[in-house]
Amino acid sequence: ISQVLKFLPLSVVPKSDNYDKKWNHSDKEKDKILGDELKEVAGSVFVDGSLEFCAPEFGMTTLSEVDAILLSNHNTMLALPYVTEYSGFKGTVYCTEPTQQIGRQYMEELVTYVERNPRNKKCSKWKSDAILSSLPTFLREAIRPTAWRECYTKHDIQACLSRVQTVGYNEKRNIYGALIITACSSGYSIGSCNWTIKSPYQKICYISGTSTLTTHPKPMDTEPLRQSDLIIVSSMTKTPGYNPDQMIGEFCMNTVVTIKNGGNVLVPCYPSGMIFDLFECLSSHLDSCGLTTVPLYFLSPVSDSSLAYSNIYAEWLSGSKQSRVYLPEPPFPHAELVSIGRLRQYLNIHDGLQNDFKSPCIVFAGHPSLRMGDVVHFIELWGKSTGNTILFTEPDFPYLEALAPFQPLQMKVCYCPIDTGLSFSQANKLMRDLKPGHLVVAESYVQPPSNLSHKTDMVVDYDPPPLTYKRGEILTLPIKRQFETVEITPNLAKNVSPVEVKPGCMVSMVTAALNIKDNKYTLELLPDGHLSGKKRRADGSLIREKSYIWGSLNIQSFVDALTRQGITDIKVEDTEDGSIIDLPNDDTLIQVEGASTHIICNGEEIVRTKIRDTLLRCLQKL
Amino acid sequence: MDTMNEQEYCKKVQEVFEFLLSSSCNIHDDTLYHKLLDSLNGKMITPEFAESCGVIDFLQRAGNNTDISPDTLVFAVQLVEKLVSKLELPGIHLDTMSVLIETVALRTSVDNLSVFCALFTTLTTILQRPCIKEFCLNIDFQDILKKSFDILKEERSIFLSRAVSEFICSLFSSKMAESQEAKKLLKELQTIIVNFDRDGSQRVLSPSMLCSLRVLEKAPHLFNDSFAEILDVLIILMKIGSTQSSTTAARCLHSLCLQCQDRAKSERVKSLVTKAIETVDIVKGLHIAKVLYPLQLLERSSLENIILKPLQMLDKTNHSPAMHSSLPAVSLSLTIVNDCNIQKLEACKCVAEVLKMTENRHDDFTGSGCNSFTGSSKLQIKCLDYLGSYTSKEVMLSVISSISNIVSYITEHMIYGKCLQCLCRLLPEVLCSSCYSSERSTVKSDLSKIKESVQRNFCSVEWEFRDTSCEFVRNLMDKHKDKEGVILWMLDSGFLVFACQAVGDGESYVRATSLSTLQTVLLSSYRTNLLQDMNTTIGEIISQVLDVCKTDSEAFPRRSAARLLHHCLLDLSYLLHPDSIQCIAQCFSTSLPSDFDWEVKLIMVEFWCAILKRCFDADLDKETSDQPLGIVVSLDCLKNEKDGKRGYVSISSAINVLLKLSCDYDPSVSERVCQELCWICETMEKFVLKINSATNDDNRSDWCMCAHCSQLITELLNRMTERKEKTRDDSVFKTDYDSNALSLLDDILLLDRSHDNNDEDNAIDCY
Repeated sequence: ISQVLKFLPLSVVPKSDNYDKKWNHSDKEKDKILGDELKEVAGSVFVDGSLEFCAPEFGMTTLSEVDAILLSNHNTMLALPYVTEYSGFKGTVYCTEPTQQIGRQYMEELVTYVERNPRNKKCSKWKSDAILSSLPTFLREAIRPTAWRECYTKHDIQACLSRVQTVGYNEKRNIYGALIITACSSGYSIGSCNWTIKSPYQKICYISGTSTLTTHPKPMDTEPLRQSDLIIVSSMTKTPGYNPDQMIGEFCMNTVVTIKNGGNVLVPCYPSGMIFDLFECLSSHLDSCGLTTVPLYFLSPVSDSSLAYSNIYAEWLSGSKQSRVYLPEPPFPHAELVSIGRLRQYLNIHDGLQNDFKSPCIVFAGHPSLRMGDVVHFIELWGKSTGNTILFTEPDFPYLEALAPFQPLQMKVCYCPIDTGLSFSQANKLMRDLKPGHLVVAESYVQPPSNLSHKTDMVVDYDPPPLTYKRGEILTLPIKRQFETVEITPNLAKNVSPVEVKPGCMVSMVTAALNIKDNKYTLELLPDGHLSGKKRRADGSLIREKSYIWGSLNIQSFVDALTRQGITDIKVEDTEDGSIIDLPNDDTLIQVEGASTHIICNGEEIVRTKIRDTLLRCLQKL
Repeated sequence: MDTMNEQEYCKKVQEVFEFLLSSSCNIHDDTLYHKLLDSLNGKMITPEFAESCGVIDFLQRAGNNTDISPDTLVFAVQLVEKLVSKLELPGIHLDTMSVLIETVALRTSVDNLSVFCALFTTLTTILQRPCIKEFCLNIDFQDILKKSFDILKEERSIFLSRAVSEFICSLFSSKMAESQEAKKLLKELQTIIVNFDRDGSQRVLSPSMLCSLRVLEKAPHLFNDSFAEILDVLIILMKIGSTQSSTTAARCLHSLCLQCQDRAKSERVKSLVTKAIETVDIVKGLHIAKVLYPLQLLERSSLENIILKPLQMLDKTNHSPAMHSSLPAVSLSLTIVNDCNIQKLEACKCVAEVLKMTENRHDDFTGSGCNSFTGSSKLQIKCLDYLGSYTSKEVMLSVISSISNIVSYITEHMIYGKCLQCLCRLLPEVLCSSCYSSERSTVKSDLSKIKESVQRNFCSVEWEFRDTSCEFVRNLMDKHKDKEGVILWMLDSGFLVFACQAVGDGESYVRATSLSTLQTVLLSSYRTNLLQDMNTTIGEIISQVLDVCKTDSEAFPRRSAARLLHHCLLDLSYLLHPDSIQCIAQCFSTSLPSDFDWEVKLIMVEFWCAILKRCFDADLDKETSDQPLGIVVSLDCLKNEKDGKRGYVSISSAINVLLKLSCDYDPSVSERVCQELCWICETMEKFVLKINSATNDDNRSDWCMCAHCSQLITELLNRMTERKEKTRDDSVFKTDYDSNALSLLDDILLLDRSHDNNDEDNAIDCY
């Protein structure tokens, strides 16, 4: 979604003259082609058109052949309508119920923002290679702009969500009989999960958006992730240099400083997730600092449902939050804040906010990209005053780029990114604990982040070294489906005479028909006409029935049997690996080892045959 | 103690002694022995009383009794120590005691460590007494010295070795130093030093060597005979010994040098010590320098060079420690600079440089400028400790720059506090410096950065930071109350608003500090400006503080609030609105007396006493009575409290509050009130006399005739009488062991009886 930063913000209050200055290309020809698609604000160039979003790369795989999509958390489903509605996808999407609901809220908020203050002009001339290469760096480094699409609609969201099947934690789901998938808590957000994908003999885990910190969601469940052949780790923290605990402290501190100085605080945010922790920590800190009367405003088209849903998902929350439900109290303190009127939620700035508005205050509003939503209005309103502060907590967008169209800005800017995702040290510790056979990570995780190149410990480190993948590259996983479980029908089982070859292990020859249906294997009796016991070659000739020998040779029995065959003067010598039987009269040596027997016979063929037959008689057959 | 109690006490003491000497004595709780010892020590004021109590008899029998328990033996020996050090005992008693000591020394096994520890401790005390020679007549002193020396050589328990070592050291400063036995022992000590293994195999010193060196340090003149050899040993010890050995040797060398009459010898010692310090490793050199610095054996400047060496060797250009300046060496050097209080420019520069090296944040994203000192809180604390007490002008700006960087990311409130302490000290000078007014100087931006950080920390999640920030503001106003520049800087920073808002903080300690800060604001000569900056008035503050007094659930804020009101009413009453005075008086007469916290009550007692004192002083002294007292607590109020003017405090209500508190459940409050009531009562009696004689003043002559006043004075006198009686009773029979010796004796005797009844288990159960 970060490509929206290339666009001018969608102002909530129209007729803003901030963005009227046309950017002129130095090449007149190109400038003519471009028209007024690009605008210049404080030295930066932006696209003055309707917002476009980066859809998944459909070319990488044929989505119509994909059977299932597993969603880890609400952050990973914003592009889902593009997949389900515009790619020919016919499969099923699996996720937890909170993920579905919160994802719906995120998508609806996005669509509302785009549709509420539409900019109907679609700009595409700047995307042509000839012009793009000559644009300022900020635009030039846009990735595949021609593949960008307009935002989906609410109808798309409905249609998309109808393809979703919800699962509970640790609930087993059979995928066409081929695999069993299970979601287990990942501790990142309400309903976030890691996936285990199991076949009868292999197990793969997909760890994405996971947190080992104690926040509001149910803690991470590591047990289902153990004994995996392979683990794929993705979506680790985007801000490895920032400690989330410290950042929450910074956030609270900067907020209170601003309020005490009489300023207002603006927090660009998503409608769910970390915002619940922010409400809790901030209100408690405001109490500590004696600022109990400062109002908190929460603006989002889905603010009502977001706050309401958070309080009904008790079973998806941390132990302490769950226990509050039994008191009975709402799990989140923001319910109380709402009831006493300290936290007030509005769908938008026209939803009665002006009647209640009291300054100084703290406003939580979307969208964190600062290109749409009510936050745009507040930056335009408060940006000119040095007393106000904008506090960035969402790590998804580079804050300086996000602020670029609003420059020059007088309000204070604080960057306190709070990303509870796995840090490198946490990921390494987790992997040492889970001990997967193989580990697969993005290539960027095995080298220090580009902005922290001296931090050599900020890498995923594992033995064996992790397998890496990168964009556009196909990685073959070192895991093969070699065995399957096959069932035998009772009728066929009746005819089988198993022989115990070692304790608990029985072997039998069987001739049957293999039936494969829904990835389920069954051995059945041969249909009539296909009698067992007589195998034929393609030309119709009979194949001699073969027997399989097994078991270890009892030397004494073998010697006795040889004696009975008239072989005399048998000498037996024990060696490290077995025995050597010397038959000097017949000029023959028999070397018996664990898994092989050699008969070195320099005498007559009859003797060799006699010995062979005696030997075969001493072994067991199938 | 009256005669009857004395007799009972003596009788019970004798019973206790009987019990202690009996074979059945088994006191598990040795604190009873200590308490008995303390009790006897307090009571034995004459040798005769000691005799009548049976103490002498007990010591005599203890000396002859072989079945006595080791604990009782220790008690007996310790009792000897107490008696000898306290009383001038007649010869016959000394004989008894010396027999006991002789018996213990000869008959008791050295394995009985506690007995021998007590023995040598007692002997050490006796050595310093005038009676030592008389005492030694009956004991084999030679044998005791031999035993002591053997104990040292055998390296027994550390406590015993220490007791013996003390004894030997005391010997050479006592009257017995000239005895043949002492001289013989001295020879042996000299031999130990001279024969010290010089090949370096003995890095840790034996107890006998340590004792010898202690004697050498205390009485170096006794070792003159073998000066050269001893000097040689000490120099070697300084070079090769452990840190402790080296420092011991250094102290001995200093003693040796001090007593040296021969200048050449003295110079030789100094020269050898100087050379030795140069050859030892840097850390040992620092330890030796630390010992020698206050002793003036060597030039201080040369020792300062040694102490500062690790700091000077830092590679300042690369901001990384050079080869020899490891973190421990730098840390030790800073410790010594602090301990020795080396307040010199060179030292200050070094410390400021180390502080600068620590200032980069540890998680610096660029990674540039990081070194092993970066973020070291240990070094930062030491540097700030030093710079908080001394900072030369030359490094002042560098220190301010470092502080501005450190406080911008600090996560430890202790370092934050030290930074602010340092800043508080430097601020007036910085603000007056020419650099501050210079446009090119960075000090303005540094101070601005500090302002921002302090503001942030006023709002920190951790209450310690908020509290420290409040405290900083209070200190600034308190320490620089007359410095306009500092006050203006503070006003410009907006700190006062933050400090004022902290009255509503969630943490009680912060609220308390905030109230103390408000008190400083109100008492400041810049009060008007400060209140203007805070956009409040004195009346609003008083109202807020009264609210804290009445409603705050924590004691700390209430204490601060009570103090603030106390000072306001006493010092600023002329600024207060009559309504405010009325409210404060009401708070002190109705709310605070029922406060749960004893300290709040004490503040209130102080308040009423101060008020009454002013009132009495004013009325007794004509000159002061003519001047306005602000709240003017008038005797008229006493005469008729109902007619008390609005805004005036009633004296009778003050005395009534105090009378009520004299019965407070908390003894610290009631005792204090009773003490105060004494002088109030006396002063009021003086009034009665004075006013009775002033027949020409109708207004005054009738006040003591007023029924209300008479009742008040009568009640006051009655209470005083009650208290006096109570105090007299309490002086003898308190339930406490410390004041009631009989109950202690009873308890010990109860042990005897419970043993007889064999009912110990039940006793424990019942207990």
